[in-house]
Amino acid sequence: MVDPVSASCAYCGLPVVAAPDDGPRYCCFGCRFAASITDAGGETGASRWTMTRLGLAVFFTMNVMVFTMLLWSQRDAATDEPAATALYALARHACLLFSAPVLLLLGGPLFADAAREVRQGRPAASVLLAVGVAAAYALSVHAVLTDAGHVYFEVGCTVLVAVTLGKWLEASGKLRTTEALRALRALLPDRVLRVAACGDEEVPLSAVAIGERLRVLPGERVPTDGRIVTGRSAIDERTVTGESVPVTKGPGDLLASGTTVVDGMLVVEVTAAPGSGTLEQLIGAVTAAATAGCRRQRLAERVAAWFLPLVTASAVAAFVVHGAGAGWTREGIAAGTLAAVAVVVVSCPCALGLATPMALWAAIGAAARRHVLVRDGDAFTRLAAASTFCFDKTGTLTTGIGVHEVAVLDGGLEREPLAVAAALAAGSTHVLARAVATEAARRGLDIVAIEDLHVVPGHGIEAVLADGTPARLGSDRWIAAAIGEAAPTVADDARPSCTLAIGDHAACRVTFDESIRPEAAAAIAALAADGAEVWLLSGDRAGRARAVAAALDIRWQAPLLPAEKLAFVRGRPGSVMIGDGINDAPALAAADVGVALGCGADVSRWTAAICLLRDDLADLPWLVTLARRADKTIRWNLLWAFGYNAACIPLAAAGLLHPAVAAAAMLASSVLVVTGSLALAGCADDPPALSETADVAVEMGRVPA
Amino acid sequence: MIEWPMLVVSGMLGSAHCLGMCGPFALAVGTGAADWRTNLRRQMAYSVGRIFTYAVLGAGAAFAAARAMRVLPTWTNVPAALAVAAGVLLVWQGLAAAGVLRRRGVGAGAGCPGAGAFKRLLTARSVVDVFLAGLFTGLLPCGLLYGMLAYAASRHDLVEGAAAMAAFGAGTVPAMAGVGLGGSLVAVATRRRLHHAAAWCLVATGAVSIVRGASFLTLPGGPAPGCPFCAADGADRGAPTR
Repeated sequence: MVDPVSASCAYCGLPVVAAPDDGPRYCCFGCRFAASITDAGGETGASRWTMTRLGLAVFFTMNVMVFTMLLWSQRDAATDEPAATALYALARHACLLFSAPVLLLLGGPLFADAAREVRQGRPAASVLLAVGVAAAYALSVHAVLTDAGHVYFEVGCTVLVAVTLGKWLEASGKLRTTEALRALRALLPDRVLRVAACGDEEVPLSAVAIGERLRVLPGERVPTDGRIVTGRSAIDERTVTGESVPVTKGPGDLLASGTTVVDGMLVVEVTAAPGSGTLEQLIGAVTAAATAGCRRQRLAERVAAWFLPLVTASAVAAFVVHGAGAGWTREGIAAGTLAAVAVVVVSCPCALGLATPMALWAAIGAAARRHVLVRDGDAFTRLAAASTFCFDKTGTLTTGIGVHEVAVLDGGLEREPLAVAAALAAGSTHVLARAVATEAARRGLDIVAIEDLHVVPGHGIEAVLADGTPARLGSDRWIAAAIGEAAPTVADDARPSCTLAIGDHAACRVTFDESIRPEAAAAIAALAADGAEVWLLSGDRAGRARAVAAALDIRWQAPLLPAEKLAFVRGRPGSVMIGDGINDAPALAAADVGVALGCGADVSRWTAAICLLRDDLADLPWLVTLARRADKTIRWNLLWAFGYNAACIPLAAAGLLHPAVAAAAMLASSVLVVTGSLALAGCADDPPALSETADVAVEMGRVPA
Repeated sequence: MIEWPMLVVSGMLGSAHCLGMCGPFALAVGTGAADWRTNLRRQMAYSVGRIFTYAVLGAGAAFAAARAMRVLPTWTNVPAALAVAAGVLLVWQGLAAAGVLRRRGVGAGAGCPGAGAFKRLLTARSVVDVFLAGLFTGLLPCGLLYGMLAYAASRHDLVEGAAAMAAFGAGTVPAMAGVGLGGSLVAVATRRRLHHAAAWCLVATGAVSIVRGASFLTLPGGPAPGCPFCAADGADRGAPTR
């Protein structure tokens, strides 16, 4: 069983479907050829010779084409003047002379690939092409030597050049679609400074083990996850979190691989083996999504499995019908061979095989460049057809949560209640919990020791203090129920709040301020202007939810427990849930597409298919546009691949398509598919809007209904 | 025989118009040379490569036109129609270059996947590689080239089509080699004037082609049109080889 993630092409990185063999694996003949050009630094004699070989083959083929046109002109003129006859014979020999180098220059890789297919017991396109080219050359050489019959050197030459050129362009295109992910991987240094007893030593990153210490200098990337032992520095974490403001870290703090040490020199103890750090996990998650593909890709793969046998059968049938139709004369065999070669050459299995993966890789790569990580290709394509967008409130539509007031309810406590609350809050990534922790840090409070901490989804956090007293931090309603008091009555539109209970007493009540994200109105306006239904689903009080929904002019439901949010999104096919990566996990998993903000850099904790690492809602309409473009590209590519093959193969089989024209058509088809998909890779820099009307609505400060 | 010198002059002056696109290539070819003699050799190899491609394309266009003339119904004189089409294309190119017509901007697009390999050929030490770079340069999309190709097609004779394109290509050599050798042998102001002259030269070539085609358009299936300004030999020249 080939591991679906690691079985990737050694050149372009796309998945390899063929069984592994010795040496580097390539997904197609084009990648094998392109690798021979770019490998070894690209400037060696061998790589240059490969390029020169292709160029010379093109030059000789052009000569063959000119002499072939001369032959055709002479044939059209149908003259038997001695000068014309001599010119005719000269042109035939010139064709032989110029076509021989083409076979020598480009035949080798094709025949080697065909031989490899035969050795592996999987004769495929290369075998068919090799047989066709060999037949065209054999017939033509025989015709020249016996001075009878037509020559078809141009067929062999154009097929060799077009196939090589087409496959190479495809391989180069595929390489560019996976460029974004490779660029991320290239951020990590190859060599690192290991701190040893006898001083620092430079070693390859792969030689570093957990527990060893590395020295990271200012301006360098952290090579793998680790904990700071000595030193203090500002850390630029935008690679893994999208956060553009550097954070200061010192001894004991954790560093993620791929982040940049800005201004200090650090000694870091390695906590993750090279290759399993934060950045590698993020890349791995995205690569796995792109490799797994989507439903359209699986459809194309099922069709492609039938494609080659169908083409082979058509080619054989064309040969037999044309040959038998002419009574197996020399002309009949030639016509049959030409038709069979045209069928093989014009068929473009690559268009079928490339249509979806290339577009998907390009789009997922473009998203990754914008710090939008896609973990599920199917969900990404479903985003294109999404009609309902459900937003969580706190931490999703609102931000800037800060502690407004800490009201101490039990004055007789020995401990500072906010220090206890901060200790519990450290166990959650909920925005309110983070606000509590931030406030405690701002006041310079020491964190209290706790144990046995666990999160109760939708309610709060509970733990046990060092003296065995239970402590809870959570919603006022949950705390009141837990300590056996009546639920406090609060105004419906009061500020969000939470209560800390120590033992059976409510210790303090923390109230928060929150404000709507500055980009939320524009993002929602863009979605609504595009005809989408937008909902606010909140666990908060109805009054608070109503106020936010009114400001954004969207529909709302509140208060909802996690299970109720789950039921809501399940009841609406084509729904997208946008929420907190942890708190809204059930609804994110149940929605057609789950989009998480604040999922941080820990991939193992993601429950959503898509994560906006920058916590920027403006990325959402951009992503929907990208998904639609990708879906449209995939559909057009597939339509083209099916339509082109369905139209051209019968024409070729009927003998109505000259193989040279077929070769040009195949080349054009491949280029069309490749360039269509490559255009998606450039979408990362597009403005974040669905349509012009949405832009106008936002500019005018008007929120569409 | 008014077109032949005009083709060379069009190429010569037209290359001032093309230097924006092909000039950097000529400069890149020069970077691999140790002295001016080597550079000149490389520039010549590069230009021969270009001219070879132009000639092959010209032959192909002329052959295709001759085939079309045989296959299509004889409702009109195909070479004459092609001559008119070529003339319109050339006039359009010329007017656009002269600034009379506004040209639509071209988007950045996805770029050419083969650009890296092409650059490697341009800067290679071997003259063969430079020749091949010229060969591929000839295949780059260019409106002026298409206009000339339409003109070559209107000749409807393989050899004449190839020769017409070779003449045009030969005309581009001085400017291209000049840029490759000295970078800026011609001052910017002079180049601007040349550019302008080239544009009107293109318009003139196109106008001749239109007049030539139009004068024979009403003779379905008749002999190939000749130049209206030298009509005496017009009927014979360019007849298909029989």
